Order: sequence, then structure tokens, then C-alpha cells
Amino acid sequence: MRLIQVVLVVGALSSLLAYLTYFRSALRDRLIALVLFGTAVGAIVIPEATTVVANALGVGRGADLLTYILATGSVFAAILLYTKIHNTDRTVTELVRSMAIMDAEAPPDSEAEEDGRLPVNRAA
Amino acid sequence: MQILSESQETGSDGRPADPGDVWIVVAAFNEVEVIRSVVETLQDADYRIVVVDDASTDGTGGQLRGTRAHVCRHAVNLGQGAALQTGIRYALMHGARYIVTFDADGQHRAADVPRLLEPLVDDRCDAVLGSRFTGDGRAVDIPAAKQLVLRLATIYTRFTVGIRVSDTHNGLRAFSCAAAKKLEITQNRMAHATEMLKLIRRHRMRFVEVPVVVYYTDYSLGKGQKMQNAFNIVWDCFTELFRRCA
Repeated sequence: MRLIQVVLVVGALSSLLAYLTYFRSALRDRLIALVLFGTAVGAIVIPEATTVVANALGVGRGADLLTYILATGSVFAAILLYTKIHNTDRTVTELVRSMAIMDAEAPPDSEAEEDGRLPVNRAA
Repeated sequence: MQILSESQETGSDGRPADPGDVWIVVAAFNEVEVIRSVVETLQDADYRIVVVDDASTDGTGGQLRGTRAHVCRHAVNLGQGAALQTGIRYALMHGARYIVTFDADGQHRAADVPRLLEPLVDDRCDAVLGSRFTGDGRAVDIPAAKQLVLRLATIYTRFTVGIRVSDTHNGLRAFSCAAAKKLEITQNRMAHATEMLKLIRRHRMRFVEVPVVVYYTDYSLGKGQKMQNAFNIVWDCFTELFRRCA
């Protein structure tokens, strides 16, 4: 085994362990991580295997195939992250909006006598 | 308070809306210099006012002390679209019958509000859009470049939203409470203007454009949307479209 293979396997293993330790994700996601890890280790230890797969798919070299997978993979990851951030933004917006409405300051004599509601800022 | 029965014909005799039924929503971000005078001209007309202070850092909120405005404060800056949505929800919770959105930078005239309300009171429309480019509407001292961008925006809107209006980015608008309930602005930043038109179309609201006067002062030009925002707006709309497809 070459040195680079050792380094890469250790790297992949640390990533897997970090993922499994720090993210309490769904079982499905953890299985996906395991499969990805297995594939990565396979490709590192037996580099010729990637070429076999590449040839089967009509790609000349295994390294090229990996580049393609890497490129599409990062685009996919970016979209996934963007969606997550967008959802978080919506949650924050809703939260900030609710707080703003709850803590709104009504002018002192506003609606108290008109429709029997207490001004919002009297609560405190 | 004047109570209008549902069957009563309110419009044909030209009776104006009861100001107590009208909520003016003002979204303000760092408008310390002008916010007080804007609110004062509105309260002189006896409208209910809610100012949404979008986490201003210049003491805009303090300027509202002693006015009759209700004040909602965003804990973090979310953008004009989000602030308008907060104000609209607040107004609806307080029994608004008509909701008017009004820019905080002093560009609009309170005197235009009754014209906007008229079609709503007559029940001819669900939404009324102020326009500086129709009828006797005017854009006083508008820079040529700004006018061009606004014209282009109307063409862009015609193709993307499928709505033909003469002024897409006018902050002065009015909605009936039923229409306002259907407005759910999710575009926090500036693309909400286009989003509102999309919502008007999606919910098949009856709308009309009413001529209004918009003043361009050195202040509003310094504060208002920068030209590069046009790009941001297109970008926001594009990503929204993308998410809808995905």
C-alpha cells in the first residue's frame, strides 16, 4: 500500500466518524454515508476498479469519472445547502415577525376604549 | 365609529372610507430624518398607522415616540418585503378593513390615499396600485436612468408575471382585507414588488392602477433602491422560479 492510500483512507475514515458522531441524522442518511465511505475506500485501495467502471460507462479513465462525479456532486451539495439555508431564513423570518407583533407598541390610548382591547404595550 | 351594513351601497354616493378602518403600513429601515414627518402627515388624516421598524440602527424607532403609530420592531433586519408582511399581519389582527402600504422615505403623499381607497370602498377592486406613470400621476424630479429602469421593469413584468401595469415598483398600494389575507410575501428583500403582482394574478384579484405623485428628493434618492438592486430583484425572482420547479 502506498503512503497516499493510507492518508486518503485515514481521511475518509475520519470524515465518516465525524459525521456519525456529530450529526444525529436519520438512519437512511447514515447508511448512505457508509455506502459512500465503502465506495471511497474501494476506489482508494483498488484504483484500477474505477477504470473498469469508467470503461463500462464509456469514460476513458477512472480519474476522469471521479472528476465528473465530484463536479455533479458539489453542485448537488450546493443546491441542498441553499435549500436548507432558505428554509432556515423562512423560519427566522416567521420568528422575528411573531416577536415583533407580540412586542408591538401601541399608542397609549389607541384601541382600549374603541373595541375593548387593551393596548398591546400595557402587558409589560 | 361608522358602521356600514353589507347591503348598503357605499360607493356610488362617493362616501369615503372611514379612516378608522384604514391601516397604513409603513416599512422603515434607517429613516430617522423623515419617518416622523411621514407618520405625522398620515395621522393628520386620522388613519391607523403601523410602522415596522426593520431593525434600524439610527434611532428610527425613537422618532415615533408620542405619535399615534403602532410600532413593530424586527429583532434583525429582514428587508422591506418581510417588514410589509409583518405590518399587514398586524393590521389584519387589529381589524383593518383596508390596508395601504406607504413608503417611509417621504416619496408619497398622504393626499393620494383617498384616491387609492375609492375603488376598494366601491368594491370595484380588491387591490389598487399607485402609478406615477398613468393619468395625471407624476414622478417629480425623477432621474432619467431611474425612469428607464422602471420602464424596463414593466416590460419584464409583462413577460414574467403576465400582468400589464404601468408602474411595477410603486410602494403606494391598497388592499381590501380579504385581498390582504391572501398576500403572503415570502420575498424578504426587494423582489416583493414583483411577488405582490404575482399574488394578485394567482388569486385573480381585481386590480386597478390609480395615478399618484412620487417625489424624488435628494434624501429619497440617497436612501432608495440603488440601481444594482434591479439585478438583485431579477435574481431573487429567478431563484424563486427555480425552487418552484425543483
